[in-house]
Amino acid sequence: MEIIQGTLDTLILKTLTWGPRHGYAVARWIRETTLDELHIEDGALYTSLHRMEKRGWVGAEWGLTPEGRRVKFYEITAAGRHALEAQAAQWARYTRAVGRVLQPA
Amino acid sequence: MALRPGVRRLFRLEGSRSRVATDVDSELAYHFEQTISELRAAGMDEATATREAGRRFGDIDVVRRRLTAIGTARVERERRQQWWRALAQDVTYTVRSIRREPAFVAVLVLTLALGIGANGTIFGVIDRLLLRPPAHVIDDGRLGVLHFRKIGRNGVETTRPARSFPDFVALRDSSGAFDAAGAYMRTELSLGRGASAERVFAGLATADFTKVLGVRAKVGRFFSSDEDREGAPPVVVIGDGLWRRHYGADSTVLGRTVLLGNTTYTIIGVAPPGFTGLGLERVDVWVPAQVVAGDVIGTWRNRNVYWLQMVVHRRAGVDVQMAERLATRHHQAVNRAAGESDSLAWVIVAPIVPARGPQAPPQARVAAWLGGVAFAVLLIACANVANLLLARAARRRRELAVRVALGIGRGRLLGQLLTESVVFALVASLAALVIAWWGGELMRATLLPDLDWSEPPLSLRIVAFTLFVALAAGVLAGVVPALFSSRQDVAHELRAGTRARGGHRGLVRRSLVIVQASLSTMLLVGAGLFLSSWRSAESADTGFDRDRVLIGAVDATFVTNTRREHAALWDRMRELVQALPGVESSALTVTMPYLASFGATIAVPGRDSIPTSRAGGPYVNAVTTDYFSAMGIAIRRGRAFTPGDRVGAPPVAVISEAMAKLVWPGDEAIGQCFRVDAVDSLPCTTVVGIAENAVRNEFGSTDNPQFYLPLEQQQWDPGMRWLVVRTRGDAGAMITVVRQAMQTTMASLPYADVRTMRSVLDPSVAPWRLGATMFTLLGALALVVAAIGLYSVLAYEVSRRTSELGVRLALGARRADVYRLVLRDGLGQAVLGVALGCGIALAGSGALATLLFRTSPREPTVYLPVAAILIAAAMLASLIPARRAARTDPVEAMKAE
Repeated sequence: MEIIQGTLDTLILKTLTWGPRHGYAVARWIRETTLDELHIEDGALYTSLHRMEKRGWVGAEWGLTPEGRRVKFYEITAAGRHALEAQAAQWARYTRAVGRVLQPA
Repeated sequence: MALRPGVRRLFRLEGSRSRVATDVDSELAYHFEQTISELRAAGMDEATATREAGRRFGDIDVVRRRLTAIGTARVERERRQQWWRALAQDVTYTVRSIRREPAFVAVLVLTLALGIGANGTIFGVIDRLLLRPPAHVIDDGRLGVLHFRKIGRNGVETTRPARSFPDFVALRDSSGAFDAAGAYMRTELSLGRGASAERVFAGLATADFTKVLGVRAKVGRFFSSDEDREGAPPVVVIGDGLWRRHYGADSTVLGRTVLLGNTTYTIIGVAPPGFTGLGLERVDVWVPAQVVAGDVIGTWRNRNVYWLQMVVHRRAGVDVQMAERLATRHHQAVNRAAGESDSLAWVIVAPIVPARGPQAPPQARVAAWLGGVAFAVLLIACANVANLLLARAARRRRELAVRVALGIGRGRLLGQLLTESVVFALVASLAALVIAWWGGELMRATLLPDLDWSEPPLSLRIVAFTLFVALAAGVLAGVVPALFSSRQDVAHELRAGTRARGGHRGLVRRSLVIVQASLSTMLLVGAGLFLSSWRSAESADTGFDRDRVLIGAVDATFVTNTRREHAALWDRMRELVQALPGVESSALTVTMPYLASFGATIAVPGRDSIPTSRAGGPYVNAVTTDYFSAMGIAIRRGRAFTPGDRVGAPPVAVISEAMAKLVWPGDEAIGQCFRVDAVDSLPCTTVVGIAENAVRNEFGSTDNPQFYLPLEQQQWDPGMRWLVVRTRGDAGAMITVVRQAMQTTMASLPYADVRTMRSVLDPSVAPWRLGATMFTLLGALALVVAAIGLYSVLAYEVSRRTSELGVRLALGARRADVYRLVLRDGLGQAVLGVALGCGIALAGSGALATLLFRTSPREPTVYLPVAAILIAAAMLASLIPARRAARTDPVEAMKAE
């Protein structure tokens, strides 16, 4: 199953609502939660993260791991939460509508 | 941001372009490492895990490029935002400081506004005179105005722009240098007849004139070459001003007729506003040169009648030097063939900007100097503002030190302080624009009234220039104080308490005051030199009176039929004017200083030749009996003309002293005789009187050989008459009545023009008046600003040294000593500045010499008063701080510590 661009943003934002994390953690969490059914390329995920950073939906900060590695952490911003709510609501309407059509009579 | 437990926060690094790629790489590297180790933990071997991680990621190169691009864009935007935020912060900070010290800021802004406004005003004039081609002219770089340079019989080199019609045609059509050329002349014409007649300025232009200049009519069109032919139906293009004045800007004006001079013209167009041909003076109507020339010039086709000024467009590939060579060769050849004197004249292709040609009006050179003066005033203002800012920086030393200690960067602090002075300058520029508007209008009206000023006094160019100057002034005034303030020793300042060292900052402040004083000195010296020139010019001997003399002119040739009728008309006119109360005497004359003159050849019986004078000539005039008394020209010896000098009586002449000295040096001239026009058959004319020398057309030069003949004994062209009126009181007050008397002599007369002799001389005096007025205004401005500067430095010094002064007083110093101490400090700086300024002025004023009139650039009567004025001003500026210092209360001063 391929994923639509906007949907990927929504998934990432949702992931970040539980707290700041780095790109690898986001990727792993999404793959595990979706049972890898969405076939999201990690590259697409990073592209989405960076684009949202530029847009101001996520903030980014560099930190040091206990092992002394420089790691980039992402967190959702107020604007990002707004966007997430809007997109989640839209997604719900969309699926409801499609679901109603496909429901056996 | 709450990072994961165990993760240490890294200092936030400023984003930069080069960092972006590194960051992307290290982020992705971490991702791969983590993925691979996760996969290996799940049991894959190293190679398979690496492959799998790559598969999961997608095309790494594409992604990396994309991420770098996004990151770069983000960093750039952040930096822009940061810049704007910093600016907004600095501006807010500035506004806050304005609120805190409104009086301080007002002085500062006013000082800057005066300096910037002066520059805006002068720029307006310089722009018009020196920088721009005449209005509406489109110059592609190949336009030029022709001038002709030759050495006259008397050995004097002259450069003149006007030449004959045949010269124009030859240069235009066959010199090979130009692909187009036009010519014109500006003259006065009477519009209408009788009581409602009016004098207008006419441009007599060839059909190609406006085409070469690229000017288009505002309404209708300019004339074609078919209309610019002798005998063609007369057409006219009226100027925008006349169109508004007379026709209320009615666009249906085309096809209506106007009576100009002696011809009725049909209006075919309206010229764009401010179009003045090649000059800068107003032109009311444009008429085809060949149609009107017969009326105005008479023998306009003659090779020796010089009336047309030419504008040319060089052929592609022909540069100025080559054009001059080609034109000169052709012009000389044509004139050689015709036997004319111009066979040795050089043709000069001058720039289209009027003031840049070889005959630049002196106003233009004065204006260029004024530009320098205005700049000096700006420098003084900047120095002053810098000084005030330094003083305040000293007051705010602790506050700034605290901000530095709190971690604000030196760069940011510098930026903040600079922003402050630039904001002040920009606020000042608004006031400066008002000054420039007002100053521009004042200068136009009083100092350059002859130019066409139909454009508003503030052009976009002036506004842009003013803003630019303001910006530069803001940076200039702010940079020194900002550098000093941002380079503080924080720890020292915080420890030192309110006491501080004078140190090198005091030196800078003193140097700024000295610079101000010396610049003011230079400006005032310039003002003094121009004032002295102006005074000399106003009182210069011209030979005739200029305060109580009116001259009148009217072209009456076409309302009379015969010479006798014409002479009778002028006699009647003179009698009517003479009968007016307030008129002392009146006379008729054929030539008029500055306006008309004729050269003549004479022969003295028994002599082969007459020596020539550097001033040319001799010049001839024919006048009625009262001419000398009316003009105020004294008869030195012998007699003036009497009613007895009429036709039939023996021919007589009055000659100028210069002519007597030239022709009969060391001999009694009265009783000698000479032949006019060297015609042997005529009876010899006897010299009966010697008249005072008078100016012909060169201000300050009266020594031209001139002789006068009785008008009654002469047969001069009746078109050439002037009325000279001597009034009992101020001549200007009599213009209207004299004009009315002339105008009503005959109902159908064209416009009778009456003006004061002073106004005829005015253009010669104007440059010095312009220079004197502007130099004095700007010099006074500079003086005031510099005095404020000195005052602020002293006042600051006194407040800074309060405790020291208190100690001195406590230890027994007398108040008078303290008073003298401060006064000496102020005067010391002023004297140093004055000495420096006088020195520079003495060394440099030689460059001004050619602009002065009978004034040495080292005139001590100018330098000494200037020095005295400056020292007096310094004294005045020092008094208040000195008094305050002397009043220091030792106890209070020590307590304050």
